[in-house]
Amino acid sequence: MKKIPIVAWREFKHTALTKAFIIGSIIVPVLIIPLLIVLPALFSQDVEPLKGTVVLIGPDVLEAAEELAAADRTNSGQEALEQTLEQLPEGAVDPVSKHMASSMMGSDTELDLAFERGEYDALEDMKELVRSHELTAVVVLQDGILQPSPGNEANRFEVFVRPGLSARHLEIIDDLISDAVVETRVVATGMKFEELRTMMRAPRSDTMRLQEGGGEAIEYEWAKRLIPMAFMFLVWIATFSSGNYLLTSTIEEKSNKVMEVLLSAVSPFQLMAGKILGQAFVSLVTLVMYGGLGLAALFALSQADLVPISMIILLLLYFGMAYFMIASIMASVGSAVSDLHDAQSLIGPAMMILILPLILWMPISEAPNGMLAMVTSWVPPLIPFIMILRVTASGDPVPIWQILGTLIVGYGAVIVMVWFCSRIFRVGVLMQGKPPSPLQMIKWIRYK
Amino acid sequence: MGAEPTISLRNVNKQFGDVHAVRDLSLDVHKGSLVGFLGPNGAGKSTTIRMVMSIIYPDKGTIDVLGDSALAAKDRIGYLPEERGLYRKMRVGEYLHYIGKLKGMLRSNAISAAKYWLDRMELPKVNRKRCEELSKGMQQKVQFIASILHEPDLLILDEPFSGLDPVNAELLNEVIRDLNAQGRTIIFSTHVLHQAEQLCDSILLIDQGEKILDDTMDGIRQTFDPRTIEVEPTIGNELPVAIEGVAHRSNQGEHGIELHLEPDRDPQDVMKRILASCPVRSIRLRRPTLDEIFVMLVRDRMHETHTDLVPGGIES
Repeated sequence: MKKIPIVAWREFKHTALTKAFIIGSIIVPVLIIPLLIVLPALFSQDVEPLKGTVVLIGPDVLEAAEELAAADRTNSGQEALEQTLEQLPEGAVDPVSKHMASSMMGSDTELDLAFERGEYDALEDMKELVRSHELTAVVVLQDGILQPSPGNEANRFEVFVRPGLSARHLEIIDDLISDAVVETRVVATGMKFEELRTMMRAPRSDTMRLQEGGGEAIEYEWAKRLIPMAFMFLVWIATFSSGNYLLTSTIEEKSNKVMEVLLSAVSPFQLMAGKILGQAFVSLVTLVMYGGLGLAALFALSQADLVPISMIILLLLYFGMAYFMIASIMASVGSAVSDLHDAQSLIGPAMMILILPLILWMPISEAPNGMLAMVTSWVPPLIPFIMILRVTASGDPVPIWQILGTLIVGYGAVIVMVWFCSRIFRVGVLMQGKPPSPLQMIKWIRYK
Repeated sequence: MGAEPTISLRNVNKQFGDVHAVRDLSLDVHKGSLVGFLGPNGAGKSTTIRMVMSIIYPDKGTIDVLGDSALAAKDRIGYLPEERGLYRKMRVGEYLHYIGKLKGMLRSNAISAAKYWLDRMELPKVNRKRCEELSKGMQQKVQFIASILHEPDLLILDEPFSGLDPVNAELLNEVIRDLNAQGRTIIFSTHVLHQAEQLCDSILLIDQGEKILDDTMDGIRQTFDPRTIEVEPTIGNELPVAIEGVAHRSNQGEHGIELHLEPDRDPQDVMKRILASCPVRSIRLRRPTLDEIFVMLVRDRMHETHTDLVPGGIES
């Protein structure tokens, strides 16, 4: 058994301590954080200001348009963001995050628009002025636009803009005129537009979930959706990437003809165990790397309590289960074929295990203790992914007997799968030529 | 040759599906011997070697290696398989240390042994090179070093000379003889039979999973009577008359015309007839080569009849 760590270390070293892995799995994610800070700032530098004159033809909305433009209509993006941030719990927004968010939304266009009234008869002349860039736009409002009623087809306006005007600038002009029309209509009824806007703002809720054993906990709606997805993808990425490394490294050893040399020194089981363990550490590096980034982000948002230590322990336990299931399948498939192309047809079972959780993610997140979740929690290849979704999604804790039961069933299935796959591996590594059928691989299990 | 067998197979059988790869095979390889393990393609050589290496296990029968089970003896065996290769991106030194450690060596011992053998095999500056940077012949030598690094008591070499130029083949030949002289048992599998003839002191020949020859080289030479006369006439390339007792002649050989005798004919009698028929520059009774014995034995099994030489001492 002392040979297994030697194989494992080589596998780890030649996967994780390579330039490709360090650049792809460590440096790139680390670079993403400063990029998130720097990129919005760069975007804001590139936004072209919207300046010039807009001529309004038709019902008079000039005053409202000028007011809105003067109030820098484009700040509404930031306002919307602030409203969204307000939905978050107390302390959720730290200064760093707020700065990041503001820089992203603060890249709004600088606005310096003047408005003039125009006559319909001079429309063609004004279009020419727009073409020659002397005017930014001409807006023609339908006559009945300020008296809206159900079925009123006059609730429209036309905008003529110069060639080359950006979609962003056009959107700003559209929004500005729309809001000016609405504001003019409201003011005409004698109401104050600002008061109406304040009244129309939807109230926000603070949900408290009453727990079974007494007490209550704050319900974070956004976290309820995001955290299970993040956890499941974390395990998915770590498992899939290492399973893939295992598949390709096994195929490489076969195609390089180094396999028989290795088998002269170690048993096929030792070789497979060493390779799986080595890649397990690679997978763990990926998990810790990305998981650590996620946790760091939660700490930065003062939301670390959303991921208690028990959840992390369960994540690691279910990750191990998922990894060993996928890895043993990948190793046995890799042993049976001579190139990656041949592996595609045999890799179906592993891909099914990986794809099903993606399909089931939504319904299980919505009803983590529902019938679908309960049933699929006991199907061995799906156990780790479904249980990760459940333990992280559920406001009501998953019953402890279900956690313990799925851990026992899952790890029992891991032992059976590793045994079956090692039987296939031991025969497959010595096979050359055309790839076997799944039926032949099952027959290999019975070979002495 | 010592009495203690290094490898002992008793009634070993191995079947893959419907294919019977090894049938009831029993054999002994004695300590310190250099055995040629021969057979046509698909004869069961690789399967037998893999069972000795405990890469696969027999369906029936027992295998003892170095006085122990095949699995327990794994670290005392050096194996150069026919299907061999290297990790392309790994450095030569790193690869040798890795294989050495897998064979139970301490890292420090593996490093010093690798250095010694790289020098001995005339590869002094390749330690830091990646395996893919080496020529085929150099890779071949690195693979050979990997099989002997841990000073095995039993060395199994499958086609060790393939890919080597004559100079390196001679170097390898010398090393193999040295290792054998140190008392290590060596099994040498090849299709180049004259190499086996030159190198080995005994031969094991199997076909269709069964042993058809197991003897020392001297024993084989005695068993297979010389039945070919090589004659070089003084004038021309033909004998003037047909010689009684000659079954057929083959093309001009290295030492003249080759005349193959009829069964039970006395070679001395036929040689006298040749000398009486014409003047000759040279005449000699040639021993059968291992190639000829191999072809004859395998062909005879295929046709289940013996038409030429009559071998003795063949176990079936």
